Amino acid sequence: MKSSWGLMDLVTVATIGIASGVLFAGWNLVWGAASPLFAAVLPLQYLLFAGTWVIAGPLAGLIIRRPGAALAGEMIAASVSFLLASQWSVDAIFSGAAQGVGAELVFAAVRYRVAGWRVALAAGALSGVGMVLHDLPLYFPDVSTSFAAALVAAMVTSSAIIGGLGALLLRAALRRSGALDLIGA
Amino acid sequence: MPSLSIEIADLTWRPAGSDRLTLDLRGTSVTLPAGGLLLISGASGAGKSTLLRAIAGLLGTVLPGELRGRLVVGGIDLIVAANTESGIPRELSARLGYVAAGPAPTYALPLLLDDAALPLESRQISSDEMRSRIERTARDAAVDVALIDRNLDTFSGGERATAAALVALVAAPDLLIADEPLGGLDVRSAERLATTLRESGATRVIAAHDLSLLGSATAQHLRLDGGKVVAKLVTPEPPSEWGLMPSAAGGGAPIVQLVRATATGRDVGPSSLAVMRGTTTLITGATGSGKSTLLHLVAGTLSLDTGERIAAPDLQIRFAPQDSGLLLGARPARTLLEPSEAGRAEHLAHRLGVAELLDASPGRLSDGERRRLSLVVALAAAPDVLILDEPSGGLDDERVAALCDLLSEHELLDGSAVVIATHDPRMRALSRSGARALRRIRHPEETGTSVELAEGGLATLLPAPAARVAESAERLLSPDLGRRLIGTANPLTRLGLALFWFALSIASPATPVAQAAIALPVLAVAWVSGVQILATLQLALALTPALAGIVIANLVGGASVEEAVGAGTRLLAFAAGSLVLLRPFEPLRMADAFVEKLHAPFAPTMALLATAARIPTLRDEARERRAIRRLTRRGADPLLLVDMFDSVLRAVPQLAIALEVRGVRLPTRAAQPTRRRPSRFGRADLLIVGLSVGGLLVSVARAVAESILTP
Repeated sequence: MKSSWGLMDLVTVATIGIASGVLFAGWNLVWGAASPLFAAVLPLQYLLFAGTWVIAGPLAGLIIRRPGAALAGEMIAASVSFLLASQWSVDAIFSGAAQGVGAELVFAAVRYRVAGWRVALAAGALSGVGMVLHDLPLYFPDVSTSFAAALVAAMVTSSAIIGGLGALLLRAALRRSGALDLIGA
Repeated sequence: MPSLSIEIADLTWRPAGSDRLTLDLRGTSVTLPAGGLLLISGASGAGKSTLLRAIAGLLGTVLPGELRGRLVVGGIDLIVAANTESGIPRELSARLGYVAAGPAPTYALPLLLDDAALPLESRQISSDEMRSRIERTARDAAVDVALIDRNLDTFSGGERATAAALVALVAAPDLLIADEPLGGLDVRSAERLATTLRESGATRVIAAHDLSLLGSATAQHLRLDGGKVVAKLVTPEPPSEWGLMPSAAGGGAPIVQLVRATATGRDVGPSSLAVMRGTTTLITGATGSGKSTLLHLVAGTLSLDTGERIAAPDLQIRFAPQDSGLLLGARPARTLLEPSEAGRAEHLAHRLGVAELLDASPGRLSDGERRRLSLVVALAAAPDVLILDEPSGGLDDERVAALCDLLSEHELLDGSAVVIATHDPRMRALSRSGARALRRIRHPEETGTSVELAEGGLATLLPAPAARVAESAERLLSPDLGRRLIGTANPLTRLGLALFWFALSIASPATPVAQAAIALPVLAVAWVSGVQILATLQLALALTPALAGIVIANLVGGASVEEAVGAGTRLLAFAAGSLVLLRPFEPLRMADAFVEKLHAPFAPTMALLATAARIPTLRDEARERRAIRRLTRRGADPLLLVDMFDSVLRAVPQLAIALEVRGVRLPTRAAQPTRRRPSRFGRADLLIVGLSVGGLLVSVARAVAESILTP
């Protein structure tokens, strides 16, 4: 593989980020509409919904396999979702950063050379940890320890499965359709 | 600088993921001297584009795959570059002009002025010269100067071809590579552009399947087929004209009728058209006249603004658009067919020469093969109305003749009505066999006039007194008044402020009073810097469910009422703070500011900007795709998400190439790019920073007052 980022890589990460961002923006609205329903069981809402927001990092990392891909993908997606429709506003950029760093650390740990289901799962899970570190102090500073623990479990699990494995499945579908050959992934 | 000659010998190319060579020039060697002209002809899928990309230095560097043989351009060994570089080698990139048009967009930025300025910015041309240089080149490239300030998304196929030529020529390249530069152009524009290309002093490599306008006595010719060279010299055929064709004739009963239909935003004036059962209607007209829009109005995939569309009930309509990807999508063509259509589809595919490709993934096929596949899919259903947009695009003469034979067959099409939009004179072969009634309608001369429709505001929809109130309300609530007073703030200032307010909101206690003390000054700043009150109210409304959710969740989680409400108001403060940044959101100005003031790297910033600029196009394409698919009555498609990612990823190589050939990787830390619109700080920035500081003082005062009052 060539040593530096070429325009194909740059446009790919921008595309994954922006397409995911559009997806996230739509998901923000779904979350907002469902919030009153789930408010009594917020951890459940996180379990079902939260993973979607971390899919961009693992997806970008799995497809591009270069330093910074996962972080850039997640941050771009978060920024786009904020610009299009986000109730969390500028904060979306920071949660994107926290989640993206989580995914990036996993890919860095395998030197960007491995991209199988274990890496995907781990990247998703660690993105979830990023989500925990960002959301809990900011939005739930005064809740009981058990509630907080439930939230942590929900966030990490959802991110690992929907975010990590979801990214893996999406990549597999794209490989089948031939799209990844066109971009050299 | 070495003279820009080209040496090609035994060149082969195997793209990634494929096990066959798309280009196999073993046994052929070509040497082109500086200033020479190399013409390449051949059917679609023959490898013309691949060879052009190889010479441009794109194969192996930007596009993945294996390049072998010998290829030296301007003294640079491109075989070595294919293995070591991640883009076109710098020395070549600075001298290259690359024209590639096609149904899919090949521009980098949507506004033609911005797109044409990119090569100049990368080469550090001074900003004052840019506009005049672009206008001068426009005349040579047969581009209407008025088009420069318009969005490329609104251009027709032919206008895009000339725009692509403009962008390639503007930097006065030493090597000019053009892929079907005259595609989609009417005769006058084609002649003008062909003259410019013939008389240019650059080394030129041009691919076209109609070489008649481009040939010259000293040119070298290569004819390709299936990636291999079949002839090294070819005599071009004379151009064809429409000649005598019935202009309008009677037919069966009308099954779709447009009566003075318009579609605003598309510059199609009131048009009337009746489509008769059992006839073929050929809509001809110059590029840019709105033929595609007319077809969409007939199909019902685009809604009318005024006028009427009368259609018979339960009509089965099939549409083969100019961009075949919109119909085919990511999965093999066979998956789009109903089981009952399979036999017919196979027969049609055989006639059009794509029989083996029904099960192939459309993404790996050439443009011509995809067009023929989309025709098969559209025809297989034996629809009541069959609509084809430029079906002959990218097809060579033989295939066009086969297509015309197919479309003239009475038994095959039965009572269907066929509507074809085309500018291609070869389609007149349709009139040869007299089995089907054929009529030709010139658009817009015979359908109505093409009119510039003015933009009307909300006021135009209301009765008179209400309209007056609405007008004055709009003027009051619009930011124009503020804008005229203070100009417009720099995006960097607004970004800085949004982050500042965010930080302040976090640092302040999560109580309604403290957060409101932050939110209110921010709203004042936002209004002054151009945010509309209506947009703010809409955002507030969207926030309510999320707000309720956070408050209730906190309560359930064990927080006190005060703390829960406080968490909620913090959300409000975030939203207020980001309004400064959000509206109006101007990504181009933001990119300008980042590149000029923060020295952000040019290539990544432009890549992000160009991709972001495609979002509206992607949204429109998604809508068009859904509308066209809905005609096949396939219902909800759960794999639409995969389709969405697949289609956006497919657009990546074209955009990467577009950016690469505009030279965005040329600027370095030492050689910064110039900007056409320099980013400035002005009175507006001073004003909103001042207001923010004032707001900050209010917060501090409140905090101090609180600490004094509470013992």
